[in-house]
Amino acid sequence: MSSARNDADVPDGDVLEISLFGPGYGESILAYTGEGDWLVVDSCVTSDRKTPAALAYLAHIGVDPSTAVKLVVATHWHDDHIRGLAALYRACTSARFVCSQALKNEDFLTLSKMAGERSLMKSSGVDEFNAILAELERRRGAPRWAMADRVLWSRGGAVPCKVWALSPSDGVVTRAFRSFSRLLQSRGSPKKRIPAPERNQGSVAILLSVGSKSILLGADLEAGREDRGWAAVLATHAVVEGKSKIYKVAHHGSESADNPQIWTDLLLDQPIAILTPFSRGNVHLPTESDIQRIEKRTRYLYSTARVASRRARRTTGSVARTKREVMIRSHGLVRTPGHVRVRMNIHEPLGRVDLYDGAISLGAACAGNVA
Amino acid sequence: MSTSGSQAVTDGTFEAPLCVPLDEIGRMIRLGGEPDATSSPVSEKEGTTAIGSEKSQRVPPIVFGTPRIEPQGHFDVLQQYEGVVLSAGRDTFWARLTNTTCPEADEEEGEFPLEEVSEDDRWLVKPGAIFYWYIGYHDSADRQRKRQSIIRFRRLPAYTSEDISRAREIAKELMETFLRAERDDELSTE
Repeated sequence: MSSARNDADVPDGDVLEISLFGPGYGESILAYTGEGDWLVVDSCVTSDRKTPAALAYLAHIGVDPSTAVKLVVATHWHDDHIRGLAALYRACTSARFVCSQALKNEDFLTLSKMAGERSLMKSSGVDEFNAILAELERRRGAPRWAMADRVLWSRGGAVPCKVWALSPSDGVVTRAFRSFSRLLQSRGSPKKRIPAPERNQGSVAILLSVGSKSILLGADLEAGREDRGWAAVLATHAVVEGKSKIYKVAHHGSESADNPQIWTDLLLDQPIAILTPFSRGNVHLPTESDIQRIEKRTRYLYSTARVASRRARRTTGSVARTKREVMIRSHGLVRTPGHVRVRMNIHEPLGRVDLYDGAISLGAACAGNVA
Repeated sequence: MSTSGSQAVTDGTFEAPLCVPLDEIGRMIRLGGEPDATSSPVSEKEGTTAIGSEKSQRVPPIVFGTPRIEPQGHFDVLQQYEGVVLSAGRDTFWARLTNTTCPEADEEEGEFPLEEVSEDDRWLVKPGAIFYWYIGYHDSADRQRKRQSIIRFRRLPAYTSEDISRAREIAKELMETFLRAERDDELSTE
């Protein structure tokens, strides 16, 4: 069951917080790294369809994003990770923008400018990206390009913090460049929305280390093989920051993004695993077998929302009748993001999980204090 | 099908019925063209039209083959969706739908039989393709009423060499800005 909202307290300087927001479609992570510093990874919006969930929460607890947020990360360019990202970045005026090294490419920028010149859809990811490019130009700044084993941000002092990118690998970046080049060759074909790439090998997985604690944010990184995905991360092992206690499960818990070594080599025993569900077309994640597979690894498994229902919504009226006659099946996309919040004092082994706005426990353990 | 006269729809999925003369839809169909998402005023030149007197709404331009509509009567648009194809199979396709009649409504996803798309448009059904779905009543001149569903895929012109060169130039400038900013960053940290 979700807790009543009693979360309007700013974490102390030596507390670590991970907040995961996600409706049935979309996700965003807000991390408090201690000492007043926050970072945001990806974005989804609240039920008004405009306000980034991370900004709404920061406003709720009275934190000024213009000074407190140090990093805004776009793990990859899929619609379910970038809604509201431009507004978020504009509000976080002292933050550095991070995106994949795979996008540091003239062909990709050309493609996004071509598609953005005349927007094809009301909610286009290209518009979001172009708005961020415009903001970067205004600030005369450049993104921090993420690639395997690169430090994205660090802080010394009493509570040291380092943010590492674990991916993409060199091989993935090279392949991405080639694919952008191929897309540009397609002149003469009708304009259409740039389809999302099917693979998530270019996704930016992150290791966040605060004091002696580590957190693994899996983005949508898929298992891959050889020099791709988790296989590449696990093969290089260049980042040695200790095993993580908290894991944002990669790609909504799907089997294609799992690798047993993630659980043995990168995570502590019984980690706190958090995820957002995903629903697109006839794909609904995590599946029952995904949940069972993860439950074998940890009893602490939490989701921001119930896994999407395949049942069609029953409505009445002429429009609804026509829709039922025309479509074989349909489902609505939940738009109020649920919220899983994990807080942990960096000097203590215990943590606390709170669930808000429809977030649920999928594992054996309930919310509350966790060992 | 219901008889003529206004139909009260109670599912809360739209605000007011929109009424489009059929010959107007025919005119839009013949004009075709591309919409400019940022411009709200509507002109015939753009291939768009205002519908209704109190609640003006742009109807996206539609470009397709021989229109098979009756010469007289009205089409009352009860609900309009903008859709993007997510995946396409042999007989069906999945699409994400944005309710453009009631923009605050939740987005939906649905699976459509390909046979709901006219034969002329079927080759356009590919991931990323955009279409419009109109649901409404056709009131004919002889006062008969039919409930209708119309799916029309957008035909967009191909990118030209000029489109690509222009975008490439902007991208090149942008990349130079990034590289300059990176150099400045390095200098300031040294």
